[in-house]
Amino acid sequence: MYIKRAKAWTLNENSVTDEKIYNDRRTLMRIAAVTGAGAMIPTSLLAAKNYPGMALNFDKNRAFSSLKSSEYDQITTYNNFYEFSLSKDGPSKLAHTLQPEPWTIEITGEVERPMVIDMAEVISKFPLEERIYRFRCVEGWSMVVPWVGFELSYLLKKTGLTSKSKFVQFQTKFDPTMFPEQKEEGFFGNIPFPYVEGLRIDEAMNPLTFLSVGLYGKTLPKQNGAPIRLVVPWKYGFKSIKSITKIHVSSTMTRSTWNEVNPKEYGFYSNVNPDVAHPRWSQAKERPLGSFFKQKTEMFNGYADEVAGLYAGMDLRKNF
Amino acid sequence: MKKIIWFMALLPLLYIVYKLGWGFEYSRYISSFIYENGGSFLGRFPHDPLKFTADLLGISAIHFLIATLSITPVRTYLKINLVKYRRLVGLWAFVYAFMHSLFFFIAENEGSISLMYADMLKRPFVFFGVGAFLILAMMAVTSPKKLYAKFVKWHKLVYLATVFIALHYMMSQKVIGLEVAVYVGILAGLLALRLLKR
Repeated sequence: MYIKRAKAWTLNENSVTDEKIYNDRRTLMRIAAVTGAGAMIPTSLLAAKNYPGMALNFDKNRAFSSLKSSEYDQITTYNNFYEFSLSKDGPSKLAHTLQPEPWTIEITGEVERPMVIDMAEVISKFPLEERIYRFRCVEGWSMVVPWVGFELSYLLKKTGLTSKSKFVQFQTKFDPTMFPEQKEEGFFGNIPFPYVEGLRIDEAMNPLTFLSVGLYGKTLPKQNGAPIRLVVPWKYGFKSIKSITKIHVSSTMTRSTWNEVNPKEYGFYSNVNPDVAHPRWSQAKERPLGSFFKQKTEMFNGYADEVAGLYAGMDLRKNF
Repeated sequence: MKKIIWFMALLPLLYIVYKLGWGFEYSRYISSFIYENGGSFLGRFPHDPLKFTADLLGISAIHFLIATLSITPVRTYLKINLVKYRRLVGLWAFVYAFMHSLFFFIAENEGSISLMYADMLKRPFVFFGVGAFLILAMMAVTSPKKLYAKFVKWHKLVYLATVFIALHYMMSQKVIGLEVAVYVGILAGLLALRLLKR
């Protein structure tokens, strides 16, 4: 396989600032200058107008390029990231405390070569590609995200799997100085931390299962789970764990935070399924971000051709 | 005072209209005319407009319920008599509860009574919401002076509606966060004041 390695001086299309962003900044500057109110414009507003990340080198995967992406602003200011806030707009305002550098990922358990791998190495070692995936939240809203990353299976092939490997567990970094809600231990607090999620090994090795290091062509914004997160497009969004620092392969079923918080409402599998309602709301339809009209939710979020085989013979009502 | 109440009452509604207004082409045109760039400075269309509208209508109903229930303690403890405004404030609690319910009925249950009925039986938080709404509706209908005199006993049901609303609000959440806890705490406090007085 030919892998294109760009020279340091190469500028690709993605590194060009979007014209709209460029104009927005100019407009803001002008308003600030005219009104003399520059100091009153919140810095978050200015920051939000810039793509904060570094440009990445990647190829567009044509098999996943047909969907129309949600707006950058929608993807980056409507987030569930309980380590920062229970609100949707909280993470984009509060996630500045996250330090994505330095960052390592520790891979342990039923692997042939346990390792600690540095993020810089991850980005340079694995061939990055862009995949535009549907993203369906268990709460009923949905968006479409142009992720940049690589298949999880590439990483697991690098470590090798033992014959006892049956499940994979992922863990978000635990560091209350970076994730303020992690120190809130009260009655009205939050979900238990560190956040963990799991997949069955065949789900983890499925070619759709993706480790994302960026979106819209640049490194991940902090509120979207910098520097590296899981993306499992046929499952509800909470399975796609953010800011991963540990991956543990095990022989027994792994933990899953939301499943532990409320097992009646959130199953281990949590596959997108319009026929199985959440106890408190129907999952038959979804609300695409920015739209006043619902659309039908597809079985396995539209990825049934690729993943339905994984669940052949399983009762998806019981194993929701 | 009446004007202030009306102003406060219309504020959430105007905000919803303003925010949803960004969804229409003409508003982008107007804003681009002013700032060259659509909507980004003055505000923007909500990311999840259905949830935004339902939530704001619901929380506004709770605000007005809190205000209604506060009028008696304010008279007892602060010696400020606002009782003559209670009906107006209470009616606004009903109006927002009505809009919230109607919105849910149309957006969630596609305007189908049978779907709403099924939803109510299957989902306790919908049941409590509908229960509270029916009590508020009864109170709104019997709020004119003559009827009120006859039905004044029945208006005690507002305490049951308050319990229902607190449960409805808590059960609609994924996690009971601080904000929800504060609202429920205020509602519980207002009910506790009634018990204390006896």
